[in-house]
This record gives sequence, structure tokens and C-alpha cells, in this order.
Amino acid sequence: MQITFDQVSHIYAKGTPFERVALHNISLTIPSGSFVGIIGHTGSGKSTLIQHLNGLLMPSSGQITLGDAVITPKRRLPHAQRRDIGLVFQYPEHQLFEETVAKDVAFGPLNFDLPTEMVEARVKESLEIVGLDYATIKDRSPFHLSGGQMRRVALAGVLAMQPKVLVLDEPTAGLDPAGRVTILEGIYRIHREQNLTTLLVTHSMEEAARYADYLLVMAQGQVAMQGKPEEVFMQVDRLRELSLDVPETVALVSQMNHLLPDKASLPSSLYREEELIAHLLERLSVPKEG
Amino acid sequence: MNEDNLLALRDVSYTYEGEDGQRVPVLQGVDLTIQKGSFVSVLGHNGSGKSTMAKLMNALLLPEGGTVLISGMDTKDGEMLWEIRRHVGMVFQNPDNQIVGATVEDDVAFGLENMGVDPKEMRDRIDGALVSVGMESYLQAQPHRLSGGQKQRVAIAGIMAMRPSVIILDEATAMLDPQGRMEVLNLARQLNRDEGLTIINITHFPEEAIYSDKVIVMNAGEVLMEGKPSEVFNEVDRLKQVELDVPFAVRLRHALHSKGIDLPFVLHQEELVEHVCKLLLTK
Repeated sequence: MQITFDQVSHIYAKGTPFERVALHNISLTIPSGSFVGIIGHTGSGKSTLIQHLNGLLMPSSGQITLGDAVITPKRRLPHAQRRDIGLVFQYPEHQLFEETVAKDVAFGPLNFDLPTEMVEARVKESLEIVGLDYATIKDRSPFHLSGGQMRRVALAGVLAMQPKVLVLDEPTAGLDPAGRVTILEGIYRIHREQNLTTLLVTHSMEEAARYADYLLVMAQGQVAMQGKPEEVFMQVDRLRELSLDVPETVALVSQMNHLLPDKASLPSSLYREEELIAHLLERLSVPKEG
Repeated sequence: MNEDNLLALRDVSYTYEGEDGQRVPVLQGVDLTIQKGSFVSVLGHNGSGKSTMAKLMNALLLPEGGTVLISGMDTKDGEMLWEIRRHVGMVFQNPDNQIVGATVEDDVAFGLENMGVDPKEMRDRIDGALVSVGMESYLQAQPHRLSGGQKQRVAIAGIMAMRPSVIILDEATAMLDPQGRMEVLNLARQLNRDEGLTIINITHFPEEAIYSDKVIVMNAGEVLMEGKPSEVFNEVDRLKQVELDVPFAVRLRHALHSKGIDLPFVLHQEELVEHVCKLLLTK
């Protein structure tokens, strides 16, 4: 589903002393099927931006197009289309509330009046997508699971709605490295298999470098940079100016190129770790004889 | 007990009660000593027992088997409870769950009021604590308006005001953005260096452990490895077996070295850059 923002602004508490412009005249296009990494500091407008996608916030001015639906300051996203947008909040496990895992995952689809058998099939499928075994986990209390498992149950609850757009607000915050990889690999698999349009808000440049095919860098309510990862990461100085990190791979390549003469320098497109290693191995390995 | 050992765990075990009443062991036979003035990092998965260990260190939990000693005080000795808690301060993961005051100075004063410290001395201690965490200009600020990193620094000031000997950071950086994480980590290192405070940093980020005096790796309720960062991170394959990550430079060097590239062990990115460039230029 293609997503377009056309001169969208959002002002919190308009007309009060606490008035604050959180989004300032944003225009952007996200093609259907892309995996977009959204980067920026706390307070840069990332969360405000994504809350516009399922009608939680309305633009103060401008318009948003989601597929065929148009959202304006006066026009909400129609109810039926909200299920197309799956929004996973920060710390989604805080929103678990049912007695059993199966009931919790079923809550959304049941609210949209789907037949019971269909809901059950979806619950089973969604739990399996996030790497949880339906039979062993369905009757357990969500509150007795580990943090990583709780988060996966919450994600399954969103997937059970079979959204066309998946929006994730820092889905790995607070998880250990193994938990982070499980969640992200699961998301990436669903993204490809179901041809979703995915927006990932993250503080981790490494996550953005690994999964995204397009990056949006937010700063002070505006899109400060956008483009393919290699285009964005190439502008190391601009990112530092925004006091954002660059991925470790990019920092390494940039430090090395500083020391190497031009003819020996490394291509700055090497921002994925595997590709950097492969490149270095090729250049450093002793050529086979013959 | 050795004078330098501020904290000691002797054959400590602990068990939680599971969902259906069965007993789940979380720590078994843990032996550890932590030296006064050292900076120790504890790595391990969720469920490896590291947070339970932290809670045993300031008597929030009591060991089922074995002994936990803080400056020679046994945590099982109820009379020593408040003295132990004053000695060992804890900062938790969620910055919003540990702020109680309506202003920054109220929050820092909370512990002192509980101890019945004289108001004049309280003033000095609050000011001193806020200076030590670099938050002195936020005396009257409302904590909920601060960033995550600033909130954690206020939490640390609350501990500093109690004049502790150890601060345990229990994944205190996990919920912060990269900037907040640097703020808290730099502060911990500064308090360790300048005020001689012992720091125990429990973390998921292997990068945070590079500058420690000692790294402890927990796995399945036991101490899997213990040593200097260069010793622990040199065992990449062993850490991988338990699905633990290593710092970026270590990982990259390992990937090249295991394919026959002649590179010495490195912890820091700068060293790796130098070695790899040298190799590239001699090719």
C-alpha cells in the first residue's frame, strides 16, 4: 500500500500556552512494498508521524493518502480501513490484558466481527509467524511469559489482523541481543512473504542498515534526510551534525578511508556487515596458486 | 574476608516459584568476588540470572543457599538491612518507575529524609550529588520533563546522596536512546574514576563492557566466564554458543581471522582500523 504525506503539519495543544509544532510541513512518498527505517532523536517527530497512519492523530494541515483512502484535518480514516494498518507501539507487551495468550491475540479480529473459526486459524498462524508454538503457549497467561515472549505475543495480536502496512515503534527496545534478532528476523520474513509495506522506527543504525531499503531521518519535526541507506550513510558529517550515530560498519569504512590512499580506499556502499567482511576477505586473502 | 573484596557471593543459589507451583532454579552455586573501586560488567541473556544476582547484592532478595557478603555484612542479618541498602544503590531499567519527587531536588532528598539526615546536611548532600551527576542546574525541574538519560542521572544522584560504596546499574541503559546511554555510561565511568565508587553494570550491550576491569558472563544461572574484557571477548565461539554477542571490532576481526587473515586480537575499533589498513597497504 503506497503511503503519501502532502505538506502535513501537526501541532499539539493548538491555541494554548503549551502549543508545540511536532510535524512541520512534511511531504514524502513511501512506495508499496518498501521497508522504511525511520531514524531520529527522541522528540524529533518520529512517533507523531506514525500515529497519523491509523487515525490516532489527525493532521493539523495537509493530507495523507493510504492506498485509496485520504486523511485530512476534517476526514478520518474509515473504520474498515484501519485494520489494514497494523501499529505496534513501544513496549506493546504493556497492552496485553487477556487471561490467555490465544484470547489476547484473538481480541482484534473478534472486534472486527470475523467468524470464530477464522479467528482461531489466524491466531494460530500469527503465533507461529513470531516463533511461538501455538499448542504449548495458547492457554498460558501472557503475564507469566518472559519479556521477549510477551512482546512476540503482542506482535502476533497485530499480525492476526492481517494488515497491509506494518508500523513498528522501536520493537526491540529493552530486549537482549538474541530477542532482538528473533523479533526482527520474524518481521522481515513476514514483510517479504506477505509483501507488506513496513515502517520501522529505531534508534539502532545497525538495525536500519540491515533491514531497510529506504531511510527517513527526522529532526525537529522535519524530514532532515531521506534516501537509500547507502546514500544516507555516505553523508557521515551531516548525520553527526544531527548528533546521530552512523552504523559501526560505516564508521569503520570512513576511518579506514581516512588512512588509506585513494586508490586503495573502500567503497562507501559497504554498510552491511557481511558485505564488508566479504570485501575485506577478498582483498586480504592470499591468491590461490595456479 | 580479603580487605579489598567489597562484595562476595559464596555458593549462592536462588529459586523462583513457577506458574504451576514448580520450583525454577535461577541461580546455582554462584561464587564471585568484586573488588573495591572496580568497574565490573555483567553480560547474559534475559533469564540468565543476572538481575536476580543484582537483587541479592542489596538484600532485595535473600539467598536460599550460600551467603552474600557486603563489606563483611551478611545480607541475611536483618539488623544490617538498612546499612546494606545504603552501601549498595541500584538503578533499574525503567527511568519512569523510580522517580518519586515532584522536583529533582525532592527526588534526591527522598532517601535522605527516610534516613533522618539533618536538614542542613541534607542541603549539602543534595547539592553535591547533583553536581556529581551534572544536573545541578535542574534543581527545581519537574522530573517528567527530563529526558530518559537525565532521569537516570537524577536516580543516580539520589543514590550518591546516600554516600554508597557500590552502584548497580541493572540494565539502566536498556530503555534509553543512544545519547542517553552515553550520558549514563560516561557518568558511571567518571564516578568510578574520580570518586572511587565500585560500579556493577548489568547490560545487554557488549560495547559497554569494553572499558571494564572485569567482565562476568552469566548463563543459565551460572557464571560461565569471568575475566578481563580481552580474555572474555577472545572466546567468540564460546560466547556464540550461548548466543551472546561481542563488540563490533572483536566480531569483525574474528570473521577475518577465522578465514586465515593474520590479525592480532583487538577490543577497540581504532586498533582494528590500524591493523587492517596496514595489511591492505602491504598487499
